[in-house]
Amino acid sequence: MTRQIVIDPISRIEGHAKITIHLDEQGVVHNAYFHVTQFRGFEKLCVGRPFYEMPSLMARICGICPVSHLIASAKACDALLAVRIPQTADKLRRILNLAQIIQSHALSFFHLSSPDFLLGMDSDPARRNLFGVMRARPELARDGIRLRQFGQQVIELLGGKRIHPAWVVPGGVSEPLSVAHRDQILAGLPECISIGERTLHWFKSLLDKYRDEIKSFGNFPSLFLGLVKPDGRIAFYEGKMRVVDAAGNVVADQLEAAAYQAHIAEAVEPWTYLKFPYYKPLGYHEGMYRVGPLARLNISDRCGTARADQELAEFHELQRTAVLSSFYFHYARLIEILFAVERLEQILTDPEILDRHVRAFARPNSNEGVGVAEAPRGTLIHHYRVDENGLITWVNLVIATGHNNLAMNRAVLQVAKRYVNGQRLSEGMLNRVEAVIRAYDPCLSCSTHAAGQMPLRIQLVSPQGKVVDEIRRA
Amino acid sequence: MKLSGQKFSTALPRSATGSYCLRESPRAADRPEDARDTMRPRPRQAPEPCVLIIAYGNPLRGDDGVAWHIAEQLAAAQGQSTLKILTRHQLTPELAEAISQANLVIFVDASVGQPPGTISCVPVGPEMADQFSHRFDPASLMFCAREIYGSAPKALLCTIAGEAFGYEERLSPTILAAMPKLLQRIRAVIAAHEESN
Repeated sequence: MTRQIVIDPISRIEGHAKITIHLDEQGVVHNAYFHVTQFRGFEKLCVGRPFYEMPSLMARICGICPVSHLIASAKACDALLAVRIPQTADKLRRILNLAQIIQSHALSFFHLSSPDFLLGMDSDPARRNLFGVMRARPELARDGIRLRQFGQQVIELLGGKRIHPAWVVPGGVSEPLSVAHRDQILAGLPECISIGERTLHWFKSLLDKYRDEIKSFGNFPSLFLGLVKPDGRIAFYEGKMRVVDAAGNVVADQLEAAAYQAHIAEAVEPWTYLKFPYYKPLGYHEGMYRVGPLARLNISDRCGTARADQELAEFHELQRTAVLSSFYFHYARLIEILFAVERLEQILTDPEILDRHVRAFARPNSNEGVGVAEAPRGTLIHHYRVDENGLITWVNLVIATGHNNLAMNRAVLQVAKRYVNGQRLSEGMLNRVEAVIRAYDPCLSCSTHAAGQMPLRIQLVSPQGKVVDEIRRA
Repeated sequence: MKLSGQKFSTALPRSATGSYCLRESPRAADRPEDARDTMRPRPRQAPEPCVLIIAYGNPLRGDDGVAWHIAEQLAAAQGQSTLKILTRHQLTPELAEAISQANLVIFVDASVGQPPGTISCVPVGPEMADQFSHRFDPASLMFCAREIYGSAPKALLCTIAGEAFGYEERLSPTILAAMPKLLQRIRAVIAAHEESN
């Protein structure tokens, strides 16, 4: 008789999910699934709302990455207006997005994942958390808190509040940047650079200790997808989509965001609320790709800032092909923090940044708009249609975490096969299964949305474990 | 590239007293100016000790937002005392630094599980949470302040038991009636503290 191990809930991630590991008669893992158990229907509840409400409404999807939704939503609304927003507004939005990258990556690395690296995957779970880090290495915890605080303060300085700022609007932003606020942000950058550099140095020193995890934590060939600038530099706000294969070859480049449906399709499964996007030309499963920090570094030729470029060159040397192990998401996250801080300085020292013309006004000039940006967890797509009165008639959101769904499921199976022994379970084994999910830093509140009807499967199971009846809707 | 931090002025406005502890209205905590707290270059000498009020809860969920109302009233009548008031939707680790720099911290919150309107003020000490998920409580924040910033001052958790936590900004009549008692209690604690210092 087959047995099942259930890890429910998965800890230290955003949102609610569980993992089931299926064992055969000999106790050997033969399958594993990452189930997202929460459902949010933002795509449906926006229908009928005026388009200009969308950025603020979309920001409510999440308390961790509201800025990413604000930006993708505002870009989709810019497309509805069919305007080119003022250059200063464009730059101010980039600042906000980079601040979001810093604070979200800091949360993921320091608060959620550093306990595993610092205290060990097999350490006492009661101590393997942020409090344990505070006790073992207070300066590491302090650095994490400071970085996150910095990112949030920048968001607050620009947007008026840390969570759900309403400053990004269709056509630009609502207020220009003041000299005082610019100087305040600039004053905080040197400290963040130091934190970024010393954390990278520390993390790289740990890699030898985690060779086994690197080999088995989602280490498989896949495509990688994200935005790049025309010259191949990393992009978070602007740019077009590039797809790179496991060998590091560019499969497709400069794909228009508005045409995402020509390249990406979404599948659903009855055992999870999270959809499964895939690269259309290769089909479901074969078209599995990864997004987020690891993907962005794999697809980018360079960053365009001194320190980050040096780190990127070292990162690319990890593997002759694309860097395949999902364990390296953490490494990539730290390089992106460094890049974001450096890039903030570049943008903030541009004299144009203080220009007061930051918004274009127009009525809707198009009935369909797509907005794409890089969120901390990867490429985020907002797609809206409106009627002649500017009321929303249809919404599709393809969220970063969703892009990684096929890869996360495969990673869970790989780790379970490597570490889980059905005859003798240990907490450390199961923690590794959770830790591989944490590497992707999923944001499940953001990523569970409706596509038509909810996929659903209800089973009636007898006390003997036999499935008596089943209703399936997919 | 340069990241000297010297190219631009970093001299930021100080409070009237020159103290690190700003006097601010509770709503100001959510305005951009409030960010000066932490964006400001760290003071070279130890900051002047202050009484820190951390009022938290969701003001869109009825009585859960009672702490915001209390913070507003404390700010309106705080006189010349060195009082720093922060309003937050929830407790986060970023508050630990401000806690470590105070010499008395008063957490203000709504509570459940007691008859509506019940007032409580209990001491809070640093305590490591057994499990860390998404939520910090006053004790774990005090632990955080002690472990990573080296100081956890005396602290109290002052609560009023709520009655209605629906989607509204108004407080229930029971809570409105009980608020003056809690305000009085908090003011007495602050006065006693200032007298002893």
